[in-house]
Amino acid sequence: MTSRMKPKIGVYVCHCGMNIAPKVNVEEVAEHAKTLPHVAVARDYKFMCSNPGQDMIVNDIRELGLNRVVVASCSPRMHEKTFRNALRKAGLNPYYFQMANVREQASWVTKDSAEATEKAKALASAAVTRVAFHQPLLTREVKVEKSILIVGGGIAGMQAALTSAQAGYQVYLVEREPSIGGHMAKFDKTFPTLDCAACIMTPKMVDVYQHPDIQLFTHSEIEKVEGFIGNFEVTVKMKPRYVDMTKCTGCGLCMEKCPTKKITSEFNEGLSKRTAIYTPFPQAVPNVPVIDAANCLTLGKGKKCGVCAKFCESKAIDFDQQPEFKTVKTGAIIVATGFKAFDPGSIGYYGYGRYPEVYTSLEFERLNNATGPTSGKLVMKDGKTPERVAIVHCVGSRDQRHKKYCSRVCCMYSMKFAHLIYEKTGAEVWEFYIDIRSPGKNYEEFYNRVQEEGVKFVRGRVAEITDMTDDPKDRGRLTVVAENSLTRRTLRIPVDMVILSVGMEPSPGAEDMGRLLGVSRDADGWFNELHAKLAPVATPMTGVFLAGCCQGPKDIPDTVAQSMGAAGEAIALLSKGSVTTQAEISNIDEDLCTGCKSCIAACSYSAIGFDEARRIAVVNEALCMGCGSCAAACPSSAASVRHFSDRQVMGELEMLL
Amino acid sequence: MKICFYPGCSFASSAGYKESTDAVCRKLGIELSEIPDWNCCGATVSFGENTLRALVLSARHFVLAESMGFGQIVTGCNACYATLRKTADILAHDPDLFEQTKHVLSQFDLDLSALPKIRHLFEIISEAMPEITGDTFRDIPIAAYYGCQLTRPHQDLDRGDHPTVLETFLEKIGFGVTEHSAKTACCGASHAVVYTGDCRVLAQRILREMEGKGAKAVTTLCPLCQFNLDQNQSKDAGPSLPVTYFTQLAGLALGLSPKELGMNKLLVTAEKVLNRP
Repeated sequence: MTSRMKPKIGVYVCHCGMNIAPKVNVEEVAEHAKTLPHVAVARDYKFMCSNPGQDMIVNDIRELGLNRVVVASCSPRMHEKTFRNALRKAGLNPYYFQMANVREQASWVTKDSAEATEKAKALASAAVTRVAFHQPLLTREVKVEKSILIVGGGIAGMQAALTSAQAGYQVYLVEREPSIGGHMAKFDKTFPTLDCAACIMTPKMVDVYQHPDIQLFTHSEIEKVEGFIGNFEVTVKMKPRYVDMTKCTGCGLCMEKCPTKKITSEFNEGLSKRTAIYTPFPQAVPNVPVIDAANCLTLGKGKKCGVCAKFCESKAIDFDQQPEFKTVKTGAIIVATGFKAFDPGSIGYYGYGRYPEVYTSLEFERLNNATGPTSGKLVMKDGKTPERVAIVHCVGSRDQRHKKYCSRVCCMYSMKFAHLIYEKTGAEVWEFYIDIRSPGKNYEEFYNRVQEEGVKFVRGRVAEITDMTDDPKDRGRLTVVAENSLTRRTLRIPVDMVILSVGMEPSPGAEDMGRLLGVSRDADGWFNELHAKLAPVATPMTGVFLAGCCQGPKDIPDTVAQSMGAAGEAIALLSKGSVTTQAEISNIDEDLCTGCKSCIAACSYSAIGFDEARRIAVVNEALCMGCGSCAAACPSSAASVRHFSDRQVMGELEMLL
Repeated sequence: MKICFYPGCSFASSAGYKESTDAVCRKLGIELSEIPDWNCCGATVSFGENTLRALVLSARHFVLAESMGFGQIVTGCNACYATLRKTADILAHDPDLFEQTKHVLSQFDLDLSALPKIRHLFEIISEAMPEITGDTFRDIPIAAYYGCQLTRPHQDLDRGDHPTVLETFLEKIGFGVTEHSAKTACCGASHAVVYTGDCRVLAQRILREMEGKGAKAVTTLCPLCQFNLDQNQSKDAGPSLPVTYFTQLAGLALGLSPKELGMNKLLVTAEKVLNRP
C-alpha cells in the first residue's frame, strides 16, 4: 500500500511569471526544500500550472518514483485542482498533494525580498512536513437531480429559466411578487438601441409561463434549503393569494368592483392607485389577481365586504386560503434576486418627497411608459409639459456617505431619458454628471448622439435642489445648484422637473437568501462569486450559481449574458447525471464514539445521524461538507475530518511557528 | 435654573439679543451665570489657521465652566455653538490632541479634565417656554432662519437639511409659521464684511424666498445671521421683513413689551408687523 511506503516527496517552486520570482528567491527556496526530510527532488519553474509545468510533475512521479508532491505557488483556490489532476494523471492518489501559497501569503504581501524568501521557505517546509502524513482519499460519484431551481423572476431569472428549460431540464422558478417581470417590466425603452422593453419582455414572460418544463411559483418565497450539490431539497412557501389560480379566468371583474381603490401602486412607483384585489400591471404573468390582505376590507379590516367574491363567476375568491408549502428536489440553484433602487429620501438637500417635481429614475420610467399613470405623456403633476429638465447622475452612488460603488447603469439610462424627453417634449435637458461611463457596445455612440441632440452636460455633482429662486418669474420652478467643475463656476439653473438617477443596492431579503443558501455577500451586500474573473457565476457553495444584479450592478445586456452563463454552468454541472463528492469529510471512529450526540447538535448540515442499535454517531457522507464542527465538538476525539488529521495540521504548524 | 452662559463676542452688542434674553430668562426663572474672563472662541476662522490653537481657545472655557461647577455650556450664537461643539467632539475622539491641549492649558494653571455638553440657548428657552394658547400672534407668519451652523455638521438639535425644530417652537409660543426653502441657506456670515456685494446677493435671495412664501417677519438664533439679514434690506426696493431674535418673539409671547426686548434696535422696524394693542 502506498500509504505505508516511505514518503518520497517532490517540491516544485513556481515563479508565477513576475508574481513570485523577483520578490521570492525561488532557487533558494528550492535548494532549501532539498534539505528537508523525505524530499527527493526540488525544482523551480516559470509557470508550474502550464502544460510543461504539469508534465514535469508527472514525469518525476513516473521516473523518480515520487509518492508525494508539494507545489509552492499561488492559492489552492486557484490551482489545487490543477495539480491534483496532474497527480491523478501520473497514477498517484490526488490527495498526496499539498500546496504552499507563496504568492498571496509571501511575495504579494511582503516588501523585503529576503523576508519574503524566508516566509516562502517556511511555507514550503510546512507543506513538506504535512504531505508526509497525507493519506489516500477516495471521492464518490453521486447521482444528481436533473432540475434547476431559480430564485427571482426578473429578466435574469426568466432568462436562466428559459435557457435551462431549453436544454431539457425541469425548472422551478420562484418569484416573491405576484407576477414575474421584475424591474425590466417597468421600463419603456432600453439603451442603447431604444427598443421597447415591453416588446422584448412580455413575450419572454409568456414563454416562461407556457413552457411545459418550467414550473412557476409566484407570490412565493424560499422557506428552507437542505441537501447538497446535485441533490438539494428546497421548500417553497406559496403565500396565500386568496384567489384560486385553477379557477380564475383573469376576467378582471373583481378589480373593477373592489371598493378599496386608493392604495398606492407599487408597480407604478406610487404615481397611481390600485385596488385591494389587483394584478401589479395588465400584462402580469400569471394573469391572476392577488388580494392585498392588509388593505382588504374583509381580510385586513374585519369588515363585511366580499364584493369580489360576489361578482366572481368562477368562484375563485377564497378568503380562507392558507400558506402552502411545497418541497422540490433540485440539482442546482440559480440565485437571481436582483436589486432595489436607492431611496433618495435620505439625501435631504435633493428635496425628494418635498418637491413634487423631483422624481426617481424608476418613477420617471413609469411616467414615460405607455402603460404608466399618464399613458406615457410626459407631463408634470399640474398637467403642463416641462420646458427644462435636469437629470442628476450618481444619486446615492459613488458617494462615501451612501454607496461607494458605481451603479454602472445610471449614465446610460440618464442619457436614454434625455433623448426621450427631448424627443417627446422638445424640452431643454441638462445632465449633471461626475464622469460619463459609457463602456458598452454602441454606448459611446449613444452618448455622442445625445450630445448632438443638444442635451447640455455639466460635470459636477449637484449640491442642492431647491424651490428658492433668483428671479421672481421663476417662482414655482425648481433650481438646481451645482458647480460646473470644468469652468469652476457655480450654476443655479431653474428647471421644471428633476430626475434623480438613483443607484442600486441589494434586494431586500438578499441577506436571508444568503443565509439560507450559505452564499456569502461582500461589504456592500452583493453575493460573492467564486472568482472575479474565472468563475463569475459560481459561488463558493457548489451547485449554487448567480445571475444578474444580485452579484453586483449590471445593465440588461450583461444581466442576460450572465443569466445564460449561470444556466450554462448549472447545465454543465448536471448534464453528466452525477457529481463527484468531496473526499475531505468527517470520519467518526466507531471504537471511540461514546454516543453523546454532541456532533449531531454541532452539525449545520444535518449530516450526522445516530445508530440506535450500536449507540454511535454515523456520518452521511453525501451530506457532509467537511466543515469540522463535529471534530471540534467531539469530547472523545472520535470525530475528525479527513485530510485535516491532528498529525497533518500539527506537523504543518510546527514548521511555521 | 442656573445655567453656565458663554455669550460670545457679538451677543451684547447685537440688536436686542441680550435685552430679550435677559428679560425672557428673568420671566422664566433662568439664571445666566456668565463665564468670567471669557475669550473669543475663534469662530469660523481659527480652525482654518491652526488646530491646536483653535482647540485651546475653546477648551479654556471648558476648564472655566468646570471650575464654576457646570457640566454644560450654553451659548446663543451659532458660530460659538458649532466651534465649542466641534472642540468637544475633537477632544473626545483624539487623545493626542487632548493631551496637547491639556498641556498648553496647564501652563496657565488650567487643568483640562472633563468635556462639557455644549448646548444652544434655543434648547434651554424652548424647553422652558410654556405653551401659549392665545391667538395674539397666530396670524403672523414667521419664517424661521436656522443659518448654516446650528444643525451642521453636528445634528444634535435636528437634521442637517430642512430642520423643523424652530417651526415647532414658533407654533408652541403662538406664532404662525411660513414653510420655506432658505432655512439653512448661507447668509455670508463674516464674509459680509469683506465681500459685501456678494453677500448682499445671498441675503436678498434668502429674504425674497421668505417673503415669496408669505412670511411677514423672520426669526433667527444667531447674531451674525440676524445682522446680515437685517442690514441687507433697503428701504426702497426688495423685501422688507423685520428680522427678530427668537428670544424677542418668546418675550412678546410672554407679554413683555417690544422696548424691554430691545426691538427698537432692529433696522427694519418690527412695529407694524408685531406690535399688538
